[in-house]
Amino acid sequence: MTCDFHGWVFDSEGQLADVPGEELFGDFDKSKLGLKKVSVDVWGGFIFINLDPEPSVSLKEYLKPLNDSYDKYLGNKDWTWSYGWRAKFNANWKLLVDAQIEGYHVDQTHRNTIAGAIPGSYAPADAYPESIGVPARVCAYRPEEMTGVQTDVALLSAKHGATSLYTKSENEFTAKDGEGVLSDHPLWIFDAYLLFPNVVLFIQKGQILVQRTLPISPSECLWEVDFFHTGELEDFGQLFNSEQGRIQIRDVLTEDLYTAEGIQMNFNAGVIKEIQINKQEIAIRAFYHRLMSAVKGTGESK
Amino acid sequence: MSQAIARPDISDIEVEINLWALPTTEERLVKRMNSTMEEINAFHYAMLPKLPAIIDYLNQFQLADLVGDDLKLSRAALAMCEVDNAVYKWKAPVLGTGIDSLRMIKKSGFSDRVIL
Repeated sequence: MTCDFHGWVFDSEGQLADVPGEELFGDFDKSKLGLKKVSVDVWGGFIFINLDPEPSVSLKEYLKPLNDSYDKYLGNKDWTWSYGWRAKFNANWKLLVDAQIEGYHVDQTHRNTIAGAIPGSYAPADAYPESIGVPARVCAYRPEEMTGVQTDVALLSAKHGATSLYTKSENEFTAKDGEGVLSDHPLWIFDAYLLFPNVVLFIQKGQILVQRTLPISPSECLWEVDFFHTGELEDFGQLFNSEQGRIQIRDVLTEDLYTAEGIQMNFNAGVIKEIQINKQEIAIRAFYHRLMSAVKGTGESK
Repeated sequence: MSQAIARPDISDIEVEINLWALPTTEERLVKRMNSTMEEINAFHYAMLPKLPAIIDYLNQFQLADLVGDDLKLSRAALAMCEVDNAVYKWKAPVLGTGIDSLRMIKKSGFSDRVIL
């Protein structure tokens, strides 16, 4: 492979093989200038890169309690990237993670979009104190009696697919491989796992969402979300369902992001110095506990 | 073989279809944001009674086979997804409790590295 900067050539083992104008350098030992080693592993169809050349734990160990069944379900080759968005936000990266791992905010923050579709009390969370890389998850269930607004358009969409998180599809998605991973609960919508530190992985029937957040500064971050589906859209019903689901999640996300920037403004003003986290937000507690242990360098996951 | 579904009569709503049959989600988003509620409601309530029949009609074709007037009709139908929340939940063209949707830049792939 050739570096696009100066044309240095490396062989398949990462050793420096050729340098244009090598005589221009003085004391020059190509054997010491190979590519830096990093660790690469694959899980759930995603490639993970670890800058530590010799990690103390394997990726598989890091991602427990996500197990081989999830690896098989997510790694199914039928999943293909469908669409996604990126944005720069004036908020600390952690605030954008927070919003995706608790359901306490849903009824109020999303009062103009999905309130009633996933009440906060239908979003139980679990903490995994023994896990190194998956501190917590939050689940989402539909209430037995829907109290949110289910429009004609949403109900028409639900006849043709399951890409809306907020309207029950008339079609059942059957998982190829990895059977048994997905909840059999008739009202279950999705599980959202926090992959420490900055990835939230939403797993549902027929759709995967991956949200990643990267810090730029204490009060700025890059945020992106990607959607994966199985197979190409073939008919208009599927396209209509995809469009309706895409727009619903887009509008909901704009509310989460609006809130995150508002919280950051409060912090910037110096007025708000601490926040209260309740029992329903246990995933946030687990996130910050894990984060603080990492910052302190204790390596504790509990 | 199932019987072909006839094209619904949309002659009375052609004006609205022509206004909202924009090619992309992003263009339909901008159209909604720049419209008045009167314009949004006019489109929505003109299309709504015919939408089930329009979807059934369009759904009998492969997407790649939608061209001409049928492609235009499909885009207008998709615009119904764009205006749905404005009509029933916000009662306004733009959500007042969210960031500007246009700040969310459409990606071209998982590893899209477009400079923001």
